[in-house]
Amino acid sequence: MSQRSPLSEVKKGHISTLLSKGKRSDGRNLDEMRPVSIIEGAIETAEGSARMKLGNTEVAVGIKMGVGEPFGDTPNKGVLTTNVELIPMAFEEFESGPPSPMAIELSRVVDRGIRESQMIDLEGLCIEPKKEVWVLYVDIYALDYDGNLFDASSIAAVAALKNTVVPAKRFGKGEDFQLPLRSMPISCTTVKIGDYLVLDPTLEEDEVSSARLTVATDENGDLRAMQKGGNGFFTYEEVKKAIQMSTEAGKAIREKL
Amino acid sequence: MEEKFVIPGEIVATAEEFVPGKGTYESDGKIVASEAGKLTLDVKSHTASVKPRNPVTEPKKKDKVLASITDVRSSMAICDILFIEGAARQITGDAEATLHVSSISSQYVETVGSAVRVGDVIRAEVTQSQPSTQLTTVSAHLGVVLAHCSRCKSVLQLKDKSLFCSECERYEKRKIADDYGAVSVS
Amino acid sequence: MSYGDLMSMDLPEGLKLIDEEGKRLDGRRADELRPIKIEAGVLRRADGSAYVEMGKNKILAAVYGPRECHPRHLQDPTRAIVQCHYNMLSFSVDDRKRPGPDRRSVEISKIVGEALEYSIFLEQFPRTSIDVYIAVLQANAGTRCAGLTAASVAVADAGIPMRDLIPACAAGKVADTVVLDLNKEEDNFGDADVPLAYIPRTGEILLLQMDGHLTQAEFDRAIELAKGGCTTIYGLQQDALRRRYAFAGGDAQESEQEAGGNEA
Repeated sequence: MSQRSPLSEVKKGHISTLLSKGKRSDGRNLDEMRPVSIIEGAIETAEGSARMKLGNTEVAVGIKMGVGEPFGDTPNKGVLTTNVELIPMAFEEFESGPPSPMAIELSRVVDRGIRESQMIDLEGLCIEPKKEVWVLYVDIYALDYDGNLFDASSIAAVAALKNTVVPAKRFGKGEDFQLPLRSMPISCTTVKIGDYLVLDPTLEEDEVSSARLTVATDENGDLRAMQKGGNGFFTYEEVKKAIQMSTEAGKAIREKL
Repeated sequence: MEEKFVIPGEIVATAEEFVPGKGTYESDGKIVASEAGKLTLDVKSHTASVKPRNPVTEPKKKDKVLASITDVRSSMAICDILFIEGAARQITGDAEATLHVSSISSQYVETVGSAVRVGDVIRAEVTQSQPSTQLTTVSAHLGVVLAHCSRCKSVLQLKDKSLFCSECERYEKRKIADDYGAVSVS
Repeated sequence: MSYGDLMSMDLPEGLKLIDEEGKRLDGRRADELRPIKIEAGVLRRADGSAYVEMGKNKILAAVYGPRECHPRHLQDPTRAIVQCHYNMLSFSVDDRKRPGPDRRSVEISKIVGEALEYSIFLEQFPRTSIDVYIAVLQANAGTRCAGLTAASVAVADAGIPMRDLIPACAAGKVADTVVLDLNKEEDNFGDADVPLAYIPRTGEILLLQMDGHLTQAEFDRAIELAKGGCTTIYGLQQDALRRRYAFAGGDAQESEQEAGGNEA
């Protein structure tokens, strides 16, 4: 991200030289994601869960549900809360305490990818309009950090929601049922290093990049959420190229879910 | 010489036969491993020692390090060691080191400031680790690997074997490493 | 009967924590541990790490350091300090736990950190901090013991000089019987719980708590069982670290380097 350590500035020269030859330091193509591995439903105390590795970045996502009151302006919809915890286990620079701006941005971007795509049928989570709805917590923990938590978090969240069973019986609300889902948005992130766009940055690539674009696309290739970050800029052509890279990568990941 | 892998807490010898070396300690007449690694029982020196597989990272003599210059004084530069080449982890404890004016270059260096400036990153070799860490940059591969223009702070580029600021269109003097601008960190 | 049902009510009528044949709810005998799996070196970023499954507990531990001590005022000029953070993830329990430390986790962090401090040669790293993070992914009674077991392997994996590994497990009393390693139902409906950390080689007890009600004779029996459990877990900790070497293949690489060094 835009914190520049002296070490990352030294690395920048090397990373840029490689990019000018169409290469990356881990041997990937510019538009290639790192290997993805997902274990779904590994946490029995959660209503749904996933542990996911994206290269050396690893996250754990658990879904917990409860019964609560709906918001006044959406009396017949369930409530969705998304939270990313950057615990110090994952990285020497993460600190315990109140969420950092990075954690809050991550939470909100993941939330938008799920909410704006209308992935969850929130109306299907209404128990009694104006009175009782299901409250859904998506809690994401970074366990091992090597860049691009945006994609690791949002893809793992989608995987966890997919295997979520609403615990209706435990709350005396009838039989358990599968969380009603509609579409499946996949977020993919591209960063800009010098004049190059690279997909799914590692931490060292993240650190030397000037700008970042996260794009969530659905199964039709339609756009469902976006977020630009970093203190650099994109041209419109670069934005289009980033969207194209994200759409292609999203397709491949969707097949694995 | 006998070698095997041991785990902390494992009894590796008796205190009658061996004295505790690195990675071991004595307890109740026994020599016990304190680190996970390869055990060496040296029968000549009667020393038991363990070479850890994942050692903590402290700068040792002959280590190549990357360091940033934090202060320039009349006879030396003060540095913060950022990274030990080949080490997989952060440096342990105190990262401060000094680069004496006589250890900067094989050629005569008039002032420290004519070779390194605050904010530069250098590649250096450790010449002493105790009681304080001392560095040298005498050698072609050692010296400044990243420098900023002292006026506009943009990164200086290598041009005609000197460092050039394309914004201010001026040259600056440094003791540069032979791979300035194309350093791979690993 | 699911866990949720058991959680939300008193011990159901007719359900016996120990049956006529002396078997417990999950089929164990009184002196049996739950199945345990220990793995060392599971995270890349941390200097050392370990994963422990103990029955339905799933726990990760990571170690960073020795490194510069933050906050500075905790720095000790004569030795390293251990800063331990035990953290239950929000979804590790039936009712979502709010993220962040509560009084229980601060207490556990303190006693687990103190046990680790004893085992580490702190004086070798003055002014530094050794930071230990324990994350409970899934909880089912006995997380402080499984957390300490994992943390100790992670410290060894981080190459930090230490006196010994620390295994830990609990014993307790369930339906008038002293049993080893209580699971969640037994913890909820049992009469006493005694978590213990104990080094088999030296007999040193590094963590001990007790709640509930035991006669002195029952306490002796509980300690005896827990010591036996610790001895078994100690062997599994050692195995985990040995397996880590097998995968790392460090032996061959090292001897190559040494040969090169001799020629030069």
